[in-house]
Amino acid sequence: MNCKNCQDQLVDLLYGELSPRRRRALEAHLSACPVCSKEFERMKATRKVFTQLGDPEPSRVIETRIKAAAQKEAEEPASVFQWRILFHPAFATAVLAILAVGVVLFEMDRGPEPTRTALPEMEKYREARKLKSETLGAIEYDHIEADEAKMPLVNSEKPVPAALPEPAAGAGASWKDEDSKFGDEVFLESKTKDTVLQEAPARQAKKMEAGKPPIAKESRDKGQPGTLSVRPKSEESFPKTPRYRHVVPYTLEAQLETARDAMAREDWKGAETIYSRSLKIMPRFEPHRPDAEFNLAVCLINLKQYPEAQTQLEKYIRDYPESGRLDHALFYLAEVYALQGQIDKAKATYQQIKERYPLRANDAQDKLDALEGD
Amino acid sequence: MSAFHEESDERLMLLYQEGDVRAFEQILDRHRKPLYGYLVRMLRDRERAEDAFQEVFLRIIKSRMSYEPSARFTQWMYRIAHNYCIDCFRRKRHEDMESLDQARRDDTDQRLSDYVAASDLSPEELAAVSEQERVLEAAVMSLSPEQREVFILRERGGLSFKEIARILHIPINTAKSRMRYALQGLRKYLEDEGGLLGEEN
Repeated sequence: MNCKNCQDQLVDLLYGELSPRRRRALEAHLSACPVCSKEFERMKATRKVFTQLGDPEPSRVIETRIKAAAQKEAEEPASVFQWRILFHPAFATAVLAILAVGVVLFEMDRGPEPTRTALPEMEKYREARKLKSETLGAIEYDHIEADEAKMPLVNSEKPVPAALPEPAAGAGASWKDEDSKFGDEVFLESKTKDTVLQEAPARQAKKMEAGKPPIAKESRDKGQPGTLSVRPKSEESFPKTPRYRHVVPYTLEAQLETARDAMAREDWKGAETIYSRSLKIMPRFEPHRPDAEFNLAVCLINLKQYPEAQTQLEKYIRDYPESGRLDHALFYLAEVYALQGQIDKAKATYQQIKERYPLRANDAQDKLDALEGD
Repeated sequence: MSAFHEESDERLMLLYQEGDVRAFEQILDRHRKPLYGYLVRMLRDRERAEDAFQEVFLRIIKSRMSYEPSARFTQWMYRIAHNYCIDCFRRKRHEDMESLDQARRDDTDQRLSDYVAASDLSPEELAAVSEQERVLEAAVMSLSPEQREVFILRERGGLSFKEIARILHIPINTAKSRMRYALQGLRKYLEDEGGLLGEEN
């Protein structure tokens, strides 16, 4: 052992973080090298002096306040929403039942031409619009409507990133096997548009169940005006009876909803734009923020903007250590490192997952093995 | 409360998840001083440190249901605290040096009165204690924030270098070298101040 090696390990020795073998080697060097041994003695002495450093005390008022908050929280367990419940079989059955009823009611409610008689102004507007679209032909109004028709409303909690670069065919499946643990397992799965289409009503029912009504359903039915956009019109992109309509989203919630819809139809660029923009103006403790940050990272990965995705994921991991999706973020981050050729960092991240998430250890190990094999 | 003295933080947290508030109070009691010390030294302001202290524990309370003992509780707690400090730094980049000095003077005065209340030290002893503490405190505050943080987490928070590396999201070797530079910096400060370590040379 040379002095450089020794000096690098002195801190480990000082805090007892050396393996017995390395410790013996280091001590052998110390007994032979007066320079290193003096340095070590100095470190020990310094450390000893600072054991006398005092710790200031927080005020009792603050502590009382914290205790009161802890008490209050413990008394209201219902206020803590348990995501795991979403994956309980009983819950799934309930959702199916509600869904079935919901679909029937929805179909009955739709009727031939819903709520035409809403407002006289609205009526006028619709007439004018009809006229315009007949005259102008190639100009499409309310493109949101058209997009919506292509890709019905998709909720919300689970964005559906499909084209994650080689998203662990094996790992994805086994994550799912772990079931109910993290609640996001659908997340990694690729979804075709068709499955999304089929699931759309289910998602809507689920959303209503969660007490979060879809954006302005009423106004959607009334067919309020949206934005004007000039775009080539094609038959298939503008069906005659669009099923969902909604107003241009101005509220934050609505913007995020639009972004999630964009993700569901794999419009990564669109979703990324909305997330980047809304995150800029979103207050720090806005409850939607973690979700938006995470989804932005997913968009960036799918856009193959790996350096940006890396920054975003690192930020997410740093800012939300208590997030239930931390393991997912770490997996993505490792993947992004690997895609950029930063194999060591990728390995370190998988290693970290292995240590922190015993349930994910096998997936992480598989990834590590794959990296070793490269 | 004595029933909880032997329990690990992780176990206490699980008990609190089940609704046992006394378990949480034990956690609070155990970590109040080191955590607050960390916050005061990172934020360099008592008032902000108290806000931070409250916020960290409120976040712990809020996310108690999502807590899983996959890592040590202290690592989780200091990670929340570290993130909070980062936010504070971002918000208040233009640190006002004068208010900092004021805060530190208040700090020393406050501690002085604690000693008066808690012990029967003679005025000379009292002066010596507070002088030594003042120097040690000043030495710690003379370190760069990065070195200071590693030093405090290791010495006062009792975290391993591995845990510190995870909290700060830095490589473990970086954590160790920061610690080494911190010890060197502290030593140099004390030597310059001409006391405390004198007999060593």
